[in-house]
Amino acid sequence: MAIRDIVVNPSLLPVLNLSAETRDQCMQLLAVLDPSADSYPDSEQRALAASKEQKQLFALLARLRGLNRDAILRVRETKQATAEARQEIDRLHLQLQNLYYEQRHLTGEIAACESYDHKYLALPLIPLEEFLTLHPEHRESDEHELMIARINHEHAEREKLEQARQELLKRKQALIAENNKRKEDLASLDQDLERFIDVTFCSYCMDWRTASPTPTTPTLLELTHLVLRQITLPNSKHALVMITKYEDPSSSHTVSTSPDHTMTVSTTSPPPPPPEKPEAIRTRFKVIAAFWAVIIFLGFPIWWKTTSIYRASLPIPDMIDWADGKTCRPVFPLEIRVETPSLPEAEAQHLLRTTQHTLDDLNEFSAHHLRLKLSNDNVEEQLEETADTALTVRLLPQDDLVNPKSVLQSDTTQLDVFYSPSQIPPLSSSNPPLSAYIAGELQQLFTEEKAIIAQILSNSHASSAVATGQPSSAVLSSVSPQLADSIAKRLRRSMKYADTYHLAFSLFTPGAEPSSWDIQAAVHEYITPLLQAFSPISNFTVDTQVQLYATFAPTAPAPEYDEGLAVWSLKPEDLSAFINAAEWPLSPSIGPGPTINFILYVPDAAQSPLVVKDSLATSWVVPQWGGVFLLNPPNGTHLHHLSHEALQGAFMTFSHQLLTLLGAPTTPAALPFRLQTLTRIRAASLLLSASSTMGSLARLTESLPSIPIPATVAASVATTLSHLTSACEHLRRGRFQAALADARVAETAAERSFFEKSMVGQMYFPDEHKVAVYLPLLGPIGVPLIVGLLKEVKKALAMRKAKKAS
Amino acid sequence: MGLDRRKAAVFGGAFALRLLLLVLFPSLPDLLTGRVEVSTPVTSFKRLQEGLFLYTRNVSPYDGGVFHQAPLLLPIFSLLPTSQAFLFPTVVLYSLIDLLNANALVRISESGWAVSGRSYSATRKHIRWDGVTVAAWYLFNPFTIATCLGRSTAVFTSTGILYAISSAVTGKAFNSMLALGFASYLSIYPALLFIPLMLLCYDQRAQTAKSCPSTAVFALQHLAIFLLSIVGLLGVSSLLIGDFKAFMSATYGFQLLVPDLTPNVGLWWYFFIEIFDSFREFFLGVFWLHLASYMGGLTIRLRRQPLFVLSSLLGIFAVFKPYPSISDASLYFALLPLYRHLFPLMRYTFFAVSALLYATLLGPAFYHLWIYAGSGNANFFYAITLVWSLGLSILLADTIFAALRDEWEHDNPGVRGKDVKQV
Repeated sequence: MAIRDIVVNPSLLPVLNLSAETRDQCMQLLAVLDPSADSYPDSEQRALAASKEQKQLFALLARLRGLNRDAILRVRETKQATAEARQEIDRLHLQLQNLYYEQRHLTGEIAACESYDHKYLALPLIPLEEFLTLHPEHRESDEHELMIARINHEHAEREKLEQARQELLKRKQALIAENNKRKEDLASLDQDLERFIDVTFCSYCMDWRTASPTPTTPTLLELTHLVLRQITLPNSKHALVMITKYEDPSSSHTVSTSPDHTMTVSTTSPPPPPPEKPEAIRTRFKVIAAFWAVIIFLGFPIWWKTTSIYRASLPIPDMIDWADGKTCRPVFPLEIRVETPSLPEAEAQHLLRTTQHTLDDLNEFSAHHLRLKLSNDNVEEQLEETADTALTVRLLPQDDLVNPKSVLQSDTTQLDVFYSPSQIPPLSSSNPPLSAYIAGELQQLFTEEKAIIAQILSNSHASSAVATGQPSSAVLSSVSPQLADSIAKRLRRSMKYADTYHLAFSLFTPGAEPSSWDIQAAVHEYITPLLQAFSPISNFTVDTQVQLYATFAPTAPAPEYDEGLAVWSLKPEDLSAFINAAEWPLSPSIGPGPTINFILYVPDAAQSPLVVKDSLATSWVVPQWGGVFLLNPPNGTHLHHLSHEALQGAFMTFSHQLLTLLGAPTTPAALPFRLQTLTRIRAASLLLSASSTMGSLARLTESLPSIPIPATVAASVATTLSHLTSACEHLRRGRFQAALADARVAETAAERSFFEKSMVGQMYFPDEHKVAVYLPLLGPIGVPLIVGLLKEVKKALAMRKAKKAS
Repeated sequence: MGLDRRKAAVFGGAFALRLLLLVLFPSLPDLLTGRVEVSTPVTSFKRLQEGLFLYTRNVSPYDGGVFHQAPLLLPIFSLLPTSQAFLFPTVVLYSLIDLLNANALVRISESGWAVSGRSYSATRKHIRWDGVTVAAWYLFNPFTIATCLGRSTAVFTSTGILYAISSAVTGKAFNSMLALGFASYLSIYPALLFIPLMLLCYDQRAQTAKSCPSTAVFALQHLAIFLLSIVGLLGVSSLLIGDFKAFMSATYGFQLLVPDLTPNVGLWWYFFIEIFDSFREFFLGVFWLHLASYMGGLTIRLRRQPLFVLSSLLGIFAVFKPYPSISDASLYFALLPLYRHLFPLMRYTFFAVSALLYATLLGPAFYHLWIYAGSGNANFFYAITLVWSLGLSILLADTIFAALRDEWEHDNPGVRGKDVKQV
């Protein structure tokens, strides 16, 4: 290839030409200088020609160099231009790449948008047709708008539903509230039931527990069912056997599809089993009939006889009326006799009238009121039964008295009022000071009793909404709060009423002495008279015991020695731990009644005298339990025997404690008076308690229709009601002793009827439990019998049809 | 003659075995007397002795509330020397009664009524044991020996029942009714056997006599005999005791109302411990009716085999009566060998026998765990009595199945020897 083919740039062509010219010149010069050639004869000519040729060559070389420089410059320029052009291209390429990226991103975005799973797609909308029928105006709109409209419609519908839900919730709340209210109504019934259950179920439970190794009733029940099921195992096996018997073996071809107990012959090529003979059918019928005959003629009568519940009829409305206090409003008309030995009849009458008037003005509590009577004007009343005299007031004239004075006799119910004769009111005066004085005295005497009775009445009627005519709370408000408080406290402290109390007198000593006490004489002298006085209210039995080496409980704080007073002292707050209940043999109950314990504690000589700190008392009452007396031997002497005299202090205290524990009021001081008050209080509380028991029984029998009511309960209820009536009548006439006697009978009969044992058995037996009792045993026996009977009936029907057809 | 020698050997051997046991283990009778499996409140020998003590001292034997057995047992036992001092005579008496029972069994077996009756004869009647073998099964059965040494008075009832059957099959219907009356007088439940036994007597009469008496007349005659025998025994008893009402309530009232829930091998005691009181009377009725209801069905279905009905009913009584003991089971086991020809047809023999053995061995152990060791409770023992009852029930069901199968094969001669299954 020639160089001219490669170099085509016109700017280089002169270079090529010039270089070729230069080469030629070089050739000429070489030719000139060649010594072998003899064109030039001499050397001079040759040198001249050579120099001439050399000059021309230099000139050509200079030109060539210039052209070379130009060419290099031009190459540089070209390179720069090329670089610039390439830069441009790179930039453009980059731009292009960016655009590509952008395009791809946008494509991805579009795809993501297109494939986005919107909620509205999953929305359970109503169908399109339905929507369009509802809203025909959207028929023309496009799909998008249509969808929006449908969604809006759905939204509206849902809001409507939500509103409805809220309303229903509100109704539910209201219903729940009503439910709660009903529950509260039932709570009173619950209380009755609990009382009932506490007493009766315990004994019931114990029976079960002793009889079976499983302690709880639910498991017992399960066990019973288990046993029933287990028992039925052999039975059912047996029933199956019986079926085997009366299914004739040859009937298999007719009943091959029915799940029956029949015998089939399974051989390799089963021959048709022989047909059932008519006498076999007859036998089977007879067998089934024999079983059913036993069930119908013996089973059902036994079932009827043994499981029917006897319910004696009770006078339910009467009982409820008693409980609500509608039948009888206890009133306490107290008769007070006024003896005026030194007054003329007319003046005495006048005094009486004015005093009665003042009394009536003072009294706010109509159920309890005082009636004054002159002692000599009741001759005609002697014929009929008279009211008990609550108090006798004797008016005794005494000179040199400025103000009247009254003295309450401590051994009779007699109030002596001394007055100066000048204070006898003239017949004309309407409000003489003497009557005001007497009325005030009487009112004061009966304040506490009135308060107690008011409290009892208000307690009993607090639950029932029936107004008792006179709102008894008004009386309570008139009673001073301190008095009400002390009455409440005393009621809490005293024993619950019982027909019989057991008194247990115990002598405890930490050492060996004293080992005997003159208890018989002491009881005879100090306690027996009191018990005789109490005999209309309750019966008492007395037990005594002596316990030596009776130590305090290890947890009880020991007495501390007080240096200043030289006594051993017990802190009042530790008194509750004084009785070592774990070791001291104080049995909680000896017989059917509660026990009142009286403890005479003789401290050790090293620890005496023992007193209660601060108050230095040596006795205290344990509420609803009994009393304690610390008998300190005088001056550290040893007591071998507690004589009658040594016991005097202790037994005085005990008799006082007994009064407190039996709930006798503290005022006034006269014992007969307090006993009379107690009689009235007890009569009232027994009357109310028997009435409320009647109400409970009535509610119980009404709420549990499956509870049996034995005839004895009906008889007890009748006794209770009749005695309640007569007690009420006695109260109204002011014969409190008789009223108490009747109320006691009523209370006993009421308790007996309420806690009747035979009523309990059914109590824990709701009807659904009966299924659980009957089914496991009778089910397995019954199923094959019933299936057999049904089959027989079916067969008989088919036969009759076949007969008709033929 | 050879047969008689075999019989003498078996009877003598059984008698000697009882005496030998007494000599080797002198305390065995007292131990067995105290076992609940042997002695129930209505059959206990200890209670009998208590009654006897009161009776010999001219006090009403039912005063203590312990003795509940028929009063005629008292004069019989008062003839014997006191059993504390002389154990020997009582055991000899009981052994002799066992031999009497075995003798009755021999007669029943030799009559052949077990395999063929008036209107029916078993297909496999050649497979049978002779009377002496049957008696040997009875005499050497450990349950029988235990009952004999435990001196339970249930054996007198067994004697009555077995003699009633043996008299019936030998044609002495009058004696049969008297014996059943005696058994019913001792313990009520044998009265339920009256109808099948009467049918057995009737079949026997019809087979031998030429003129067949009317069924109704025959039934009424025999019912009269039966009732008169009971009335006579009760009359003698009331002469003996005086207070008729007290004696009735202490014996029959006690058996009917089940007030004593001492554990035994039956199903009643645990149930009535657990049942709610208000349902007690109802379930008493249910249990008694359940026991009685089998009589009608079985008699009708197996009319052609009255002897088999009698044995099956005795098995049912051994399971479901209020105070069962192993003596009732031993009576049922005594009658089973008569049906040797049914054994090839029975299917669950192994299972039933193992259940019975299991209960026999574990029963006393579990009772000991419950009562003495205190490591178990009543459920232990009751579970075992359930197994025992289950075993007996299976055996009973199996024999009834076998008897039905046999009857079926008799009616359909073509199917003999083929497999049968219950669907």
